[in-house]
Amino acid sequence: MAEGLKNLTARFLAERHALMAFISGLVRDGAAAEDLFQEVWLRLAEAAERGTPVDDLGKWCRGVARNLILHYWRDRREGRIVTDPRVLDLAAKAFDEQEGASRFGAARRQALAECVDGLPAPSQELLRLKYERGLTVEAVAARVKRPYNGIMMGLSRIRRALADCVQKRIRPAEESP
Amino acid sequence: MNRLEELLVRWQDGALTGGELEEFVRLLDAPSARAEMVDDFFMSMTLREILGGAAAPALRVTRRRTFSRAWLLAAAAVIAIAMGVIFLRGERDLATVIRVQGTVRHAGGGTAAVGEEVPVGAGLETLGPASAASLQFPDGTRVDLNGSTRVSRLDGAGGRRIRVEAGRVTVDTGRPLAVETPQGEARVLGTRFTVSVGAGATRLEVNEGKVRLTRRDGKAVDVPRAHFAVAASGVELAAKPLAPKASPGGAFIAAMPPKSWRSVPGARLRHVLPDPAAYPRIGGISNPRGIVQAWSGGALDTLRGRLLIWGGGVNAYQGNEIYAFDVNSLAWERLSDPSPDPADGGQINADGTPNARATYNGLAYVSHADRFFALGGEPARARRATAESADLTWTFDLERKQWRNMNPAGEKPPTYAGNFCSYDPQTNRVWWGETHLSDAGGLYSYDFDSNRWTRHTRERLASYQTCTVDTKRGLLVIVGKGEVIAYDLRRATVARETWKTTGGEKFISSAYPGLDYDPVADRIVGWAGGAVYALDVETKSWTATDAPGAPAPTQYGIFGRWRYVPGLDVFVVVTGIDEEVHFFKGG
Repeated sequence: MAEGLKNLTARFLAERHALMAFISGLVRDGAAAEDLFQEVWLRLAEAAERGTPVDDLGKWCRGVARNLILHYWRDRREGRIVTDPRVLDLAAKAFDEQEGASRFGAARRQALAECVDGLPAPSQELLRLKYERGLTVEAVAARVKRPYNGIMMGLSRIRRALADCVQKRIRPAEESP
Repeated sequence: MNRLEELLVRWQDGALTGGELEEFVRLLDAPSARAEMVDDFFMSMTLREILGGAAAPALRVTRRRTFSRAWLLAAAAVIAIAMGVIFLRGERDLATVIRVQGTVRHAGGGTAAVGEEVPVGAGLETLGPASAASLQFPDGTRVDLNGSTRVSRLDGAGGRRIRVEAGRVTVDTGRPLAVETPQGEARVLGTRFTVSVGAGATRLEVNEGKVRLTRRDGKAVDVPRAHFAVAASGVELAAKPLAPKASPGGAFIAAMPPKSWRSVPGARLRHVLPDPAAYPRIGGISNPRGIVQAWSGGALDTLRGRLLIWGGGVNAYQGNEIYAFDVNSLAWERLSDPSPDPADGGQINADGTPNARATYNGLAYVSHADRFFALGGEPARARRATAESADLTWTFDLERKQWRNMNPAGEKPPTYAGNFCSYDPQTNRVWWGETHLSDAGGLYSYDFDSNRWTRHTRERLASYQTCTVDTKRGLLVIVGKGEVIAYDLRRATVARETWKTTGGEKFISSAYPGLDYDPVADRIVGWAGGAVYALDVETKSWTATDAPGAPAPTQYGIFGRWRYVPGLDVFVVVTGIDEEVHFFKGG
């Protein structure tokens, strides 16, 4: 069991960023996403204890997460947030199509952090309102007294600049899970 | 910015409309779009971790499960070694101000504005009776502050404890939360309730679910839905029904046997009409019977237990005053005076108020904002042959007694006459059925908080119908002109569903019937004259109750003047300004 556990844990850790990106992108609530992430791990632990073989661990975890997210949406009685099972299925397909977990590697995450540090202060402030404080674009626009479309464009430019910056900073060989 | 990028942002914000969602799904059919979605999800998650200090995904081991604890602890140990540390989740410690009306200040000083944050340890205060504010927590919990209310601090992890020093707050939450006052504490798991703090007393009113109220001396009481309790020295701590039977209306209704009608002696709207001599400019068309008879509706002010009546217009009556029948005091009141200089066929009077109109089913009470909503209908015209389309969205502040032309954003329904609407307390939206014959027909919704209209469907909807919301299931149910139609408002994409029902053919063929949802009986209940019809949503069958004493129906329809009164568990209906108000009590 000890060897099996070690291997399983290592495989799960290799998938954790991709799994969390999948869950948080669909749930859109940080605390709930963390709860569901933990639940997937517990289901995996249960499966391992029962001796259930798990070949494609990433796909297996997303399958469990998919059902948990559906339950979460139903419990939230939808309506409040826009939900649609088709988006869930398309997201699962999208993650299945990615090559391994390299795009979620530590090097890329480190590069992104450095690129954020290099942004001008106004851009950093916009990112903070959106991602640190979790405001919607509409709320950000109200907060900074700028038009909605202006904020959308601003965030788009910043994210593209970050993607370019990350690309320049890393080489594929440096990617690690 | 490409379209997919824009839709991804709106998806993350939970702001996609029905049409945008369909477009989003269509775009994601392409592999390149799906790859972009993965990149977007990853970057959003990582930015939240980098900027928000959110823990990178790690594992907790605190859940109770049936599998072996030894295995779990072993797993945790392996993970801890692999990652260096086991993270524990920290709650987000910020609430966002999402609504400000009048003067609102942070507890530490400084004017509050929409979009600002209120961190744990801080508070918020509304100054004056006309002020109001709303806070939203990251988990969706919403706290509404009425006027002259002081929340001294948000406390506990994620602000799950709120200290209210004075005033009135309404909490809508799906997670455990405590409201502390000088006299006690209300603790709740997922419900909607209101706490009012006065000198030496705290009053708790529960709208949904159950709340435990604990007094400072440790004594506690569980307060169920539609009940209230008071925590104060020397006052019995007990749950009591809202709208106590001690009120004239409560006693009157309590004395009614089941399945019966009863009229309120002398309760006629005509008694509170304005003096026509004071308004000479509305003399041209001054038949006040048109206030009710001229295709006009109403809405129930659920906060105060009043049926609001607004109507007239066309070539019948030019006064734009609003009337209210208080079901607790059994008395009529004129809430506003008529505009002294009404427009002739236009939408706006010289004083900035809306012109009188045949209001049809274009009225609603927006309970979370305490506003009377009005759209559509046919404005008054004294000399002109036709009137403008009443396509402006209006709300009436029931505290300040002031109209406001909302001038909302979004895709607005063009409106004229014959439309229908109903407020849904779950989505906080007014759902609007646009019966316009052009391509603009379909289902829309109005969000007061963002002051924005959203179009949900493009389809032909029929006039002569009335709608209501089954709040248990989240269904908008539309009845009239031989049809029963439903939309599931809890679904991301609302779609029309035509119901085949039995036993109510006569009722559903009526024009502009009265229709409302009775949450106690769990029935859609309608009246268009004669028998009262109740629809079992599960079996799709109508049951008729033909009790004696029903009033004669209004010639052109009942509209929203038939309403269920929560707390008193009775229906109220107004059929004319010279007719007594009637109550109907179900079985």
